Amino acid sequence: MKLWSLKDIKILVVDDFPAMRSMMRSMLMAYGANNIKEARNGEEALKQLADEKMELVLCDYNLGEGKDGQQVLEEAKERELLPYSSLFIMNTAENTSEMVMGAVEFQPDEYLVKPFNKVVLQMRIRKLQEKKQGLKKISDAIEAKDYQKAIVLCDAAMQQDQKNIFELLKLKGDLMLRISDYQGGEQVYEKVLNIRALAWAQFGLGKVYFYQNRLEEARTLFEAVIADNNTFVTAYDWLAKVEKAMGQSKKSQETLAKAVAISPKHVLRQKALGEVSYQNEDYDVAEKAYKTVVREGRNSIHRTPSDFGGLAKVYVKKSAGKDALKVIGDMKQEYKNAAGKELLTVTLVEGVVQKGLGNDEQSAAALDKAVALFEEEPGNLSSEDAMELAKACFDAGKKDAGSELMKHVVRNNHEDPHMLEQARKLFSDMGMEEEGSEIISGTQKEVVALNNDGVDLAKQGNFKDSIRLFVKAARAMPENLIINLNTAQSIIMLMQKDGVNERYLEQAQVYLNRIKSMNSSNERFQKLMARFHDLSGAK
Amino acid sequence: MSDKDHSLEFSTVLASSVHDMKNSLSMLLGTLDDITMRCDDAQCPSSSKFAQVQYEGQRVNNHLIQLLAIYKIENAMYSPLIAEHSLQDFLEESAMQSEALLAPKGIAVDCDCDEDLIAFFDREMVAGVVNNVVNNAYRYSKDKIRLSASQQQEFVEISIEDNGNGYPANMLCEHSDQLTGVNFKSGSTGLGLYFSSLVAKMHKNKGRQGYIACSNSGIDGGGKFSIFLP
Repeated sequence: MKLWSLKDIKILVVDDFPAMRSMMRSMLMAYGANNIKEARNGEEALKQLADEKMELVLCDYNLGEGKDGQQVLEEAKERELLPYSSLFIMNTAENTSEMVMGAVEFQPDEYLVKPFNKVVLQMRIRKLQEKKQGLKKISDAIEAKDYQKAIVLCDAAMQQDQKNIFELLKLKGDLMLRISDYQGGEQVYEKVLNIRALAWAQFGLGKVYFYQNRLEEARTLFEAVIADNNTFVTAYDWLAKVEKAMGQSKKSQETLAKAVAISPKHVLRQKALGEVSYQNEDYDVAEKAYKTVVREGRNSIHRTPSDFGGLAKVYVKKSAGKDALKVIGDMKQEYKNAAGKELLTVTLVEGVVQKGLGNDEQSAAALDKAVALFEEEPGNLSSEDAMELAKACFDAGKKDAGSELMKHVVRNNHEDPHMLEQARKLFSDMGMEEEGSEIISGTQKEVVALNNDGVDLAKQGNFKDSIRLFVKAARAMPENLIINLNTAQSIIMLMQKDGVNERYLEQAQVYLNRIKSMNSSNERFQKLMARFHDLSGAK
Repeated sequence: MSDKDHSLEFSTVLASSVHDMKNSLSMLLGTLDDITMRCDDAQCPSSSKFAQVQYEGQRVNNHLIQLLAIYKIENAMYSPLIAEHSLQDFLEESAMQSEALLAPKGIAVDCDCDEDLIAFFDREMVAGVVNNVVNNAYRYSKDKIRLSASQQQEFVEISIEDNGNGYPANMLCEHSDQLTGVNFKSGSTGLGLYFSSLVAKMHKNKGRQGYIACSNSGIDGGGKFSIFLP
């Protein structure tokens, strides 16, 4: 029998103390490790991970200045620098309860509390390797994005492996959410909760309720999770989301403020706080939040020009023109190579902020440019931004441009009563009630006719032409629910007829993702998801 | 400055001091481990002294864990991290952690547990309890320590037994609520028991709460400490 050893395993040790690194090194070498790299801080660690796939990472939580261990882990996972098969062990001198609760979505394979000796280190690594090996078939299916198969494998493993049953249930719950099978997810979490009130299962069930639009139940559950685990920061994020969806923006702000107090560096959380506090006209809070996004998000994939816009608009509200212009300058500098959607956002932000500051000339130049960019590729402009730009056009007497923008809003929302009401209100504010009403109904008819054409083609079995028509339509109106649903459906029907291929799967995924973010509880969407995953399992 | 500000400050100071001390201890014990290993090879005459140093280091560590945990629990700053754990793995790890300490003194550790037994508990906290009891058993045991776990109706019992002279009469109890003969907050044994019962109580499930028990039904009438987790 081959003796267990760490020989030839690629290992990375991350710690800011040289003495600690060398101690770890000697512990590992006692078990045959001969390929150990070291990093002194988070930035170095990420660089090493990007250069070379590591099989075992031992990372200290506290790394002094810069990123901490959790941030290293999150970024490594987001940038796909850590294959599922590698082990990430977080070393810490603190109690891990808070850490674990703060990191539900990105957990290391193990926390190891100092002081530990080499025997314990060795034992943990071996157990983890065994566990990963046991889950290998499932993780392979996940990496191949065959979630249906992964779920079947989870069920099979549960029959045999009592020891890891909760691990498997947790995985299955995640997978159910990933394929938007909310009833399936509900069953998994209920099953766990009948045995034990575990925080992750309550949290999972809360998400299920949110996606099913059962907001009241979701709120009760997230509140209960927080009451038992007041450092469970992701639960605050979700509670805030639920409250926002319920129209309680004040409460949502309070909840996010608590989350930010626990963990202040998180870019998406600060962004959410900025948005909701701006909406609540609490400009001091909004300023602080957006400032953090702009600063902390420097290297984050989550920062966009809209965040500079958010901050600049706060300064406009606070009559701090100089500050607003400084932010606009910074934004233009940061995004000087922007194109497409990003360039449109940068241009629009500049126009709106200059307008707010009363700089008519600069504002007009930027807004004209934004209109031109919109005409080039309408799909790059969100309905919300289109409404803002339309208002600016009407104010400047550019009625035709404004009307075109409003048509865009209607196209994207031809069956959404809330957005249509907002459009109607804007027209009436501009004294264009009658004209607006005609624009709205005319555009609605246009979309309905287009949609019917596409549906007819599909009914005739002419999926290719149907797809061509819908893809074009969805490009111009990316926020239109029906169009996206029918685009995805045509692609899925074609695959059911002609067989599955990778390109169609990817294409369908794009539209399904859009629908999920618009209306996850839509019944047609859930049926399409089930068909989609049947197909993707059959490839 | 208000009282509240004071207490906040103290908790930060406490947490960061414990953090630093644990880093130092980690270095100290790790280095000691290294030296011990090398000296065993070289048959160094001071070998036996290292075990004593290690024991003291472990004691300091246990006290640090207790100190911070008691502070946090009493100030409602701690939410237990309940997850399922294999008891065999858990006990094996505790045994391995202390083997280096016990072996030189001629004390043998064994584990007795069904390999499929799992339970829900805060691993770090319960490990703190077990390590603390094992460290005490080091002082009192003749030559054996046994770690065991078993299902007892709605509870899982984790026990540490030795073959020493057993607990004094005032510490014997079947349930921590009856422990009136010991002043919890005085002396290191009292503090250890207090910490153990706090950790036990933190574990709740379906209306039941954890507790500890001490008896002299250990190996050959030696001491037996148990923590019952619902």
